[in-house]
Amino acid sequence: MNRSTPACSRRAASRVFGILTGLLLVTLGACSKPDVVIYVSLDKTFSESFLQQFEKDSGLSVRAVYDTEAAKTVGLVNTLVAEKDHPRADVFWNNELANTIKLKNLGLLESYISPNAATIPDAFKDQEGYWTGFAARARVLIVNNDLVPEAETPTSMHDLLDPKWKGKCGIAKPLAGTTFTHFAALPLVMGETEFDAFIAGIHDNDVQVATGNAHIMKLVSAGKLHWGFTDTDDFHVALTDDKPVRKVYPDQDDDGVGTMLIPNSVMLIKNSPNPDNGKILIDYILRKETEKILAESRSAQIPLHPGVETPDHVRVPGKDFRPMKVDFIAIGARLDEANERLTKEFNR
Amino acid sequence: MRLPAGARWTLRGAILVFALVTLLPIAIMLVGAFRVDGQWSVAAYENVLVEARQWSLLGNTVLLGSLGTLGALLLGLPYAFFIARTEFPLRRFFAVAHVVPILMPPLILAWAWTRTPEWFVVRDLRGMTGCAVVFALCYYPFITLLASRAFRSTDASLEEAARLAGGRRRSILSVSLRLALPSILSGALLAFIFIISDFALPDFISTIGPKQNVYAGEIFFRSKRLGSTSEATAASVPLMLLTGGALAGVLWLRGRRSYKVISGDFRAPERIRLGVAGATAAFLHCAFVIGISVVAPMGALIANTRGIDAFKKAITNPGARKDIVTTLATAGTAATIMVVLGFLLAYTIVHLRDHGRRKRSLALESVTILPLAIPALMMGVGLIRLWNRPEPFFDTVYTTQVIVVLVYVARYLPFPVVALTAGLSRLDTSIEEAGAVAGARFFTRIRLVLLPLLRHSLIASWILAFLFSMRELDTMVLIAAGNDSLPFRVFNEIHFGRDPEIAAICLIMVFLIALPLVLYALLFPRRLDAFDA
Repeated sequence: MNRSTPACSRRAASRVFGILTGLLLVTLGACSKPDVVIYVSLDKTFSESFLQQFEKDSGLSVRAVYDTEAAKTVGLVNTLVAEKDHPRADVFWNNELANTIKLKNLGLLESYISPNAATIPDAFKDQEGYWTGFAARARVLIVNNDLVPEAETPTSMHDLLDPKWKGKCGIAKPLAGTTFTHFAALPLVMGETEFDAFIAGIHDNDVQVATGNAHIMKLVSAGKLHWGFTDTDDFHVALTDDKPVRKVYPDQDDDGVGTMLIPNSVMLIKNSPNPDNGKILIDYILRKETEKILAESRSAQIPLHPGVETPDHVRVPGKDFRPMKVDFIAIGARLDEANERLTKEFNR
Repeated sequence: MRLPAGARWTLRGAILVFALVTLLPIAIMLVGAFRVDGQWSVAAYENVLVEARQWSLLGNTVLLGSLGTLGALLLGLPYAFFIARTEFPLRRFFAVAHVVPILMPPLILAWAWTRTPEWFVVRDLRGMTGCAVVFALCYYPFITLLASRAFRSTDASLEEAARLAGGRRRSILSVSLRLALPSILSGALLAFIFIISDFALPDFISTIGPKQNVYAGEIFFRSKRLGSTSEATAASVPLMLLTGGALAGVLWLRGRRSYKVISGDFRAPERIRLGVAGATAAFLHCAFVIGISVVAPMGALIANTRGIDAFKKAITNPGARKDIVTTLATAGTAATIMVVLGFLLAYTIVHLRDHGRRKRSLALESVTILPLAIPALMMGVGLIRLWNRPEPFFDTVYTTQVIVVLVYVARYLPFPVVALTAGLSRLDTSIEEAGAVAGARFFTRIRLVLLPLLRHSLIASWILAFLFSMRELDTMVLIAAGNDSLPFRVFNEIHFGRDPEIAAICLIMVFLIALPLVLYALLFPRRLDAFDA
């Protein structure tokens, strides 16, 4: 049997072999162990460049695991719970607080008081150092300028129940993310009975329930809803995309409960593989500069460190609007109960 | 011809690797759903299957699958007939252009459509109809590819006999269509399977209109948000039964496909010369289909980049660059593994069949196609259950890109197996036997006889495996290592990014998916039939 192969075929075969080997080597190269692992529930679009900068500044390699809009924060929280016996993450950057407290109550966090957290107000950090809040978002109303005249602007969450807006306003499904934290807080703020009536009113008034706050922002921006509840970061995305929308900080009257403010929170995971590098990353995240970067970014987060310079569109709580008084510890304690109840009401 | 021991062990090894990579996660997932808190229990199934909501979700999913498939048939079937059997202006262009939608994941197509000009008639994608329209546009190529091949393979003598019996129109309808029916139905069932398994598109459509509840979303919800893989598995079972039923239909129809009528004296049917009205109708139909499935979305993507800056930004973003390289590397590596494994499995299937063990051959062939019946999210849950363990070996696999390669192999191995089985089936067994008589050992025969003869099938298999791996999103949103994939980036950008950046990254992704296919078409324009299997 003639075993000779034309030279050009051999050359082509060796080139193909070279390319395929290259692909394999790149795949194997992507398998190296990182210096620090962080789970991030702030959207990848907003947090990725920040973590890249950390890699440059610190010289440490980072593996970041992000959540999707579809999974909200809960996906990563469930992962952390599932990994509790053998944690893979060193640090969790949560974009809200209620689930952080749940993780603390489950004993999954390690205490670490960062020197950079000293000037963050006590209301936004755990006194034992299990978590620290920073860069908050406010729960605001996004209103379509073309559909809602200035004089008819809704000003309170109770406007959701106004028959005038029947089927024309919306909220995100309150089973995850900031909307869940918000709805978990409301019974504590307004009382159980009034909260029951509020939920019944939402159903009766045909309030549209969307998959997320970004969804609400898109529906209002596109004129498919007149207004809805969203977060300041989602509102700011609409604003920078020149959508015809305006923002309202709800419940600012004297008898109103104020606007819910939900900080990001960062924490060290108990028994994590790289705790020392995790602490370095936490220190980096809790710098004033981080809050400034996040305030100036497309997500327009609200700084909690005093004295951080912010752009005009980032309003300062206590000065530009009145925040809702919230006991996050109490919210965390009743999270499972709230989850069960809201799932029954809204997972239809 | 009895195989030597080394060859037998190699083929057995390939079957073992296939079982470990693909069948084991499925088995672990199904059995694992009966384990709740370390105890055997049917609680997960009880919790999920007794809910009335589950049945409404199933109804929604079947309805969506049916509407999408019907739409794909309406677009694809006349298109296939026109390009395969008639002559009309630009027919050759249309015969190639209809492949392009396969290169665009449904999510990209849907996003692009929402960015078409205001006057565009179908711009406002909402609810069930919006999902069905996009799915029809994405998956009609399954029907055009399979049906056009079948139409071309109708023996002219059969049509002539029918024409003698009853006139031209009747002959075409009764013979061509009937012979092509198994292929048409196979294409329709494949489209149905892909539609009902898809999570990302209904999720996206839900963000621009009313919530679109489908079964894939329920699996995601139970797995990610509730953190219950047991319930996610239980929720998957009705969907798996549905896709399994459709796949059984495809397998049955595959056995009846029309190209079996091809014999030694086969004559391809003549093209029908249409009149002006017929040619105009054929041109308008094909132009309409390509217009809404290729020109409009690609045009919208290009227009929305608003210049070159968005591309520069996408390319200079270190995160995006890393995702592009990682996805190319993992998809390329997985495609290579799939072709090697697929060749060995296909060889085993054909060898068993040619040596009188048809039942074993059929059983192996059916099992290798089984992954197509497993919804992506369910396969993802199975792989997580298998590999998400603290032991160092498992941990290394699960936390690195190795798991991504395994996901691709587990999902898309059926394509190389089917393509290479078809390629090997076309070779006369005497070719390999002649090599054996000449003294060539098994691996030498493979290297010097079979592989060169099969090179186009091998390349086509690699391209198909690469193409589908590059598009894979549903499992990437479930698995942590999938964060570094290009589809995951696109998924995130579509929710939060600016339009020019989204459009740029989508175009880059489509370009990378298409690149091997385009290169192949340029190098071997006459060998595109290697994809027909």
